[in-house]
Amino acid sequence: MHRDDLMTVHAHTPLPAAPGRAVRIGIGGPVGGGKTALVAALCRTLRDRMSLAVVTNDIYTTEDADFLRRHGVLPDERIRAVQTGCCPHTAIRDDITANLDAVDELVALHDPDLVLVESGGDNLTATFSYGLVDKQIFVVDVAGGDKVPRKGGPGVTRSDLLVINKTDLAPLVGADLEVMRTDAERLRGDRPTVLVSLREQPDAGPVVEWVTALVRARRS
Amino acid sequence: MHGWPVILRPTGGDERVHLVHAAGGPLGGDDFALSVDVGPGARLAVHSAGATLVQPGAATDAPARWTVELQVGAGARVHWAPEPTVVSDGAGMESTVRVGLATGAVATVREIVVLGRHGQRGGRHAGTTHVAVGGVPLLAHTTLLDGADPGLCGPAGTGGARAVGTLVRAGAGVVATLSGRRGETADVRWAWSALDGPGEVLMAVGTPAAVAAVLDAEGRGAAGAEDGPRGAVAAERGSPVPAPGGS
Amino acid sequence: MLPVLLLADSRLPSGGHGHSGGVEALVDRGLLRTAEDLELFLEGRVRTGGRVVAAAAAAACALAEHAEHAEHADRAGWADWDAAVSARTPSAALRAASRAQGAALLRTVSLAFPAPAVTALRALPRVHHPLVLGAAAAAAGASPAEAAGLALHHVVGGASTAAVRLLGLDPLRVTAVAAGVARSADPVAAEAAALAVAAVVAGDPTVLPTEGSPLTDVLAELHRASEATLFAS
Repeated sequence: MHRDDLMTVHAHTPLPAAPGRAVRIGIGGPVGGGKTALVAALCRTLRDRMSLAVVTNDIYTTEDADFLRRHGVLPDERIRAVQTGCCPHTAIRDDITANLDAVDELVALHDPDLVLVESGGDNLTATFSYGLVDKQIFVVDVAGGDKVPRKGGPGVTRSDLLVINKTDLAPLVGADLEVMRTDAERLRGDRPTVLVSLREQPDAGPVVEWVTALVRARRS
Repeated sequence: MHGWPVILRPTGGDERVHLVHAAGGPLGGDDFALSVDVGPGARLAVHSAGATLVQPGAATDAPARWTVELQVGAGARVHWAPEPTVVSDGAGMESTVRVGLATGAVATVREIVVLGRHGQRGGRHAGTTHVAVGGVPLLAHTTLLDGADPGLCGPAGTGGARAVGTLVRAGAGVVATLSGRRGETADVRWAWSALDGPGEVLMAVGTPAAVAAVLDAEGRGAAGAEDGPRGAVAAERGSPVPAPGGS
Repeated sequence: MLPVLLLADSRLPSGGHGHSGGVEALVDRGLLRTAEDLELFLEGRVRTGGRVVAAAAAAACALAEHAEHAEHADRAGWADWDAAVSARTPSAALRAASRAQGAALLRTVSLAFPAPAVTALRALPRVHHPLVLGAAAAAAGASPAEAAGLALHHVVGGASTAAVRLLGLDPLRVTAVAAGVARSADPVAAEAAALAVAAVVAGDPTVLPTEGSPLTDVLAELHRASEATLFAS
């Protein structure tokens, strides 16, 4: 008997992930905007309310895992790192198979309510395929300048939730938050936008509400 | 054909045998086969008196051939560890070692091939190892070396190194306890790897001395592992699936 | 021919973009720096590990052709052929990479080419990539030799793309390198396929070729333990 035959995590699910119980939310956006900070905030706030798992497409080191463990964000067995071969957008949009594999494995192991898929940092055009996630959050920051929402791009215009982070920096970088808000609303129509400072609001309150509503809707 | 006589000489009681190349080692065109049946419950250690030096044949471009069949009976233990094979410039050798392990039999198989004597780039060597446990193939692997072949000396081959060494531990119940041990210096890169079945292999690429030193040191660890506890078979494809359901 | 070309396309969702075919570990150690180094690597790889995956893909293609009727698909003995690939892949890291890419490709071809052999593979634990590729190739109308060629095409393409991304090599120059290697790989594919078809006819996976690439195998294990790698293998 071969070792491989004894252990099959999700041997029989090589099709696109079946719509199971878990809500899958993608978190994308440019480098440095606060994707990892948002994932950490969501985990800290939600981990006692629901079963969570995370797939990260960021360059992931033992140090990162230690950081998450030390800060009690999530136990390591609920985190999977997917290496994207220098192409983070490919892994979330054009060839989602490695991420599907990681999501399926976490679902098989933990049956979570929520799986967060964090993209590696990319540009304003990098969005998730809806073959991989149910909803997606796009994170930009004020420090990138108040014209970022106006530039548009699929991340800003079509994401299900736009998070404009680091509002505390607005006076320092000369960014007009009101301009950012109105530009975002004009481009996004009904899709919601929240302005936050994850540094000042480490519980990520408005994002948590949005995520919780999605999980509640799936449960009912 | 020059015959390449090899003498089997018991050297350490009835468990230990040395191969002695009576006429200086294989030449091109030589064809040598050795078949060893190790009876149930027996123990056998096979060494060689010195390095095997492969040299070109005078009248032929054909390689020397060296075929070993080791049939290891139930509960028997075999330690196959000849000294390195050195392939001289212009020489060729095809070596095949087939190990068949019956129920409960355990084998360690050690091989080092060195490209050339000092200052040579080395000849050609094709070394194949087949290991089967209870009739099920566990390892089927050929290492191609040729000091005159840039592709085989390049980054997909030896990366310019002169020596390649392997040490296989295999047999029913053998657990890959050494898997994960690895090292990297200016002289040698090496790693143990679990096989897909009951066994593991140490692979080393580097200078002849450093490769031999790694196999010596790790071989002692392997000998220790033989006496260690037998744990659960490690998972290659991930963790086991929990029962469906949950909260 | 067009369905077969889909299987050759680097845009085919199959997880390949996350694997460098051993290139990242070499680049990290300064053992592969230039397009000339890449050429030497590919040339050696095609004849060793590449020949093994080419034969495995051809064997799977031939098996799938034999088992094209649904009632025979599960009797092809896929598990024995999968074990044969494992036995020819001593590096656990490379087996994991092969199985991960096999699972990824199987997701895609289960929808694109739902032939009985492809469906049969879904009933097995994670199958090695060249077997999935071969079964899909048969479903797309390819011959065993073409399946072997596809396997070598991905060996060459995956490593070449990774080298461009990691080293900033001129992609035009790298394409020229790949074209040269591809020409020398054609006879390797044909010969590996002939061996594979003979193995399938004999019902004996043990006669498949067994060449390995020593440094690639060792570095695959070292790479798996490395920090902050960009490619999974």
